[in-house]
Amino acid sequence: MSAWENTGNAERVDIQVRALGILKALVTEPCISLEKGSSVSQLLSLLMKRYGKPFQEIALDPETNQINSFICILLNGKIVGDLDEGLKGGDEVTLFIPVSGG
Amino acid sequence: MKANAYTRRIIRVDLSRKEISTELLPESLIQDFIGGRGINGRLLYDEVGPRTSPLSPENRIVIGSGPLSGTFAPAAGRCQCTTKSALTGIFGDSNVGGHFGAELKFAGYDHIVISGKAETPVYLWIADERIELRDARHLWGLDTWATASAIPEELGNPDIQVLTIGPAGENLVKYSAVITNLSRAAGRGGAGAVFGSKGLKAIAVRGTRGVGVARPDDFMRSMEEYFRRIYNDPAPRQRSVEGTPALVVVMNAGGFIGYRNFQFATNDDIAEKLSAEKFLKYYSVKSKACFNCPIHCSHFYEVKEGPFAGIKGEGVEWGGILCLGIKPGVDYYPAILKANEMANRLGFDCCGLGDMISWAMECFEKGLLTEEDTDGLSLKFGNYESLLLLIEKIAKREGFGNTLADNILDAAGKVGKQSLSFANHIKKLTIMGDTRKGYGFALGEAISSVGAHHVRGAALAEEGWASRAIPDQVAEEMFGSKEAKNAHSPVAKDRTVRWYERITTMADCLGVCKFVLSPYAGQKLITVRDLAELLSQASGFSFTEADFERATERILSLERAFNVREGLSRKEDTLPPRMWEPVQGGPKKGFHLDKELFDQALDQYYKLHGWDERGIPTQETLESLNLKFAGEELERLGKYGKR
Repeated sequence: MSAWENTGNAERVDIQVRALGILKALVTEPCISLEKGSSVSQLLSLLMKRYGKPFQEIALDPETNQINSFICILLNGKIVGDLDEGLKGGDEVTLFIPVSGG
Repeated sequence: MKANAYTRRIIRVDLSRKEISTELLPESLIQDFIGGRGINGRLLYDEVGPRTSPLSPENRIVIGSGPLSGTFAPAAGRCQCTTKSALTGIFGDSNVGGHFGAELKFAGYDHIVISGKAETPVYLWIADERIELRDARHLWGLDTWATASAIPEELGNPDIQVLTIGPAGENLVKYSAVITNLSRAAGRGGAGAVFGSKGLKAIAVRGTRGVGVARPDDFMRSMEEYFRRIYNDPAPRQRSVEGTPALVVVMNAGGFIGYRNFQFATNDDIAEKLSAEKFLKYYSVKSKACFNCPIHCSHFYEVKEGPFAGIKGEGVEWGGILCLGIKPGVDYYPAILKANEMANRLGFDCCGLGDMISWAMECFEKGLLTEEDTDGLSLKFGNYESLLLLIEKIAKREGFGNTLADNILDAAGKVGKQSLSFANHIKKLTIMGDTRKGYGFALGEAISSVGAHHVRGAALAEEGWASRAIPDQVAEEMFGSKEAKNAHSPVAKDRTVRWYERITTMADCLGVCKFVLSPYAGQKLITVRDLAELLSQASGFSFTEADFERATERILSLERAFNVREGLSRKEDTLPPRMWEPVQGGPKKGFHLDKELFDQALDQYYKLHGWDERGIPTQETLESLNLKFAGEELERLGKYGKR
């Protein structure tokens, strides 16, 4: 059983998820319930599962089968470098594909 | 003649003598300088000297569409406008999208070189073989939108593409732009003022000849592959939805939002109000693309209610939101959209315009300017009514507007020395994006040949998300060290900046948009190697990645020699006072660039390019790049000193 799946008895926390740009239409729920102690990586895996192929087509690197490294993840407004970073109740995770330009 | 993406023809126009001719583009220029920015720069170097005043008849305007412009290559509609800058007095060079560059190719020309000064206002009309100067007295005073409507109407062809100035250019505002397709600007550096000084209102072009390629089967196979990559990559898909306004949230998160003339690194409230989400929800009407672009990153917008109801325009890009909104502290989107519309219609570089007003607002905040100085305008940060009135006054050089219509050092000279500490410029070109992102970004902006420039040497590897996007091993291979990704380290920033210079320089040479290229190592879009292959297929000439790397070195060294000839050296390759100060707030709070470490990175950068410790390309370097003439000239001018 994965840590983020609902076991029915583990303590859970609510994480606000804000997806921008082309991810916005795919991530329809603004709040995700996770088992306490879950990481950013585990949140992403849950999103992959919940939102299926359309989300995976963008978020998953087909060559590595890992989260696409170009997806930028903010935790409470700060860029996440390590996907193992832990989450706590009330955290806001923002997902978007960064672009440059002028 | 065998099909070739190069038309091999240059138009020459002498406005003083009213003479027009065409000449062959020499193959040697193609081999050494590729096209667009590269060839423009060489032509300008040869024809404009250190004694040429930017606003004199002797200055040149060189327009160059790249060899891929007008072909099926993705987003290949870019065009380069090169001149001795009215704003900075040095090498002036700006890239513009839209459709003009492609249309120039359809008419059968790669470049236009314009000299002299017209007795009365004129515009240049190019229709395939027919090239003529036409009376523009009735157009003088019109804004860019009215001009872009009037010319096709009087020539009876709605398909004509127009590159034009507005009142700001006519009135020689030093950061006036040349505008095409209503809102695409060759903005940075004040090319509009050079047009204005020559009495040249516009260039109109219509071509019916198409653009051939030398190896069509190979070329089309490449097209299939490159378009497939673009459609499959998340980044272009993202751009196609939000465009550059996406950067509002990104930059705020990174701590580079430049709020209130770079006094503060972040402001969550303004970032929320000006987010791409808000823009798309309330103002965007539909997407808009430049020539042959599969991304269509821009938007048409309309304000539907409130005091600015009825405002319509195109963009607004990150640069407009930043410089007309965040830096002057304006958080009301409709006012920014109005300012953006005014900037385009009046013919401004919206970045330069917003930067000057933001600086004036800080002067006002600090009591260096009062309402007595500003014609009664209250220039408090966030006061968009005053901002809009000031835009109009600057375009007309009216009252206090005249003080702000020249470069920021001229304006600071009038306001007082204290204002220099927050006059954010490099070589008199105002800084668009915060250079405190990291040592690579700072170096890239400090050494850019046109002054502060957020694209030409932008060390994107330093962006926060690069830590995951670029694996350490890849960073070591490409930049010499994984420290390239560490914004707080000066290590390997010379190679990092050079890596990005190659991408941006070649994009500017070929006439393709940087948005279809791979800005991050490992990203699967179009690389410099791909571009070399594509140009070989399109032109029939043989180009390799190594040729492009060498051409980049040559182009950068010649642009550098141009500026050395103007008297610049190491002392100008630096940052203004505020950019050495610690970052105020945000995730990088307290970080500051260390001058000594910056200098070390600068030394390494010079060495990498074969420039001496003063940043002067050595004669040996210039000779090895087939630029012996430039070395000899710098020697004649005494730039190398006694030996």
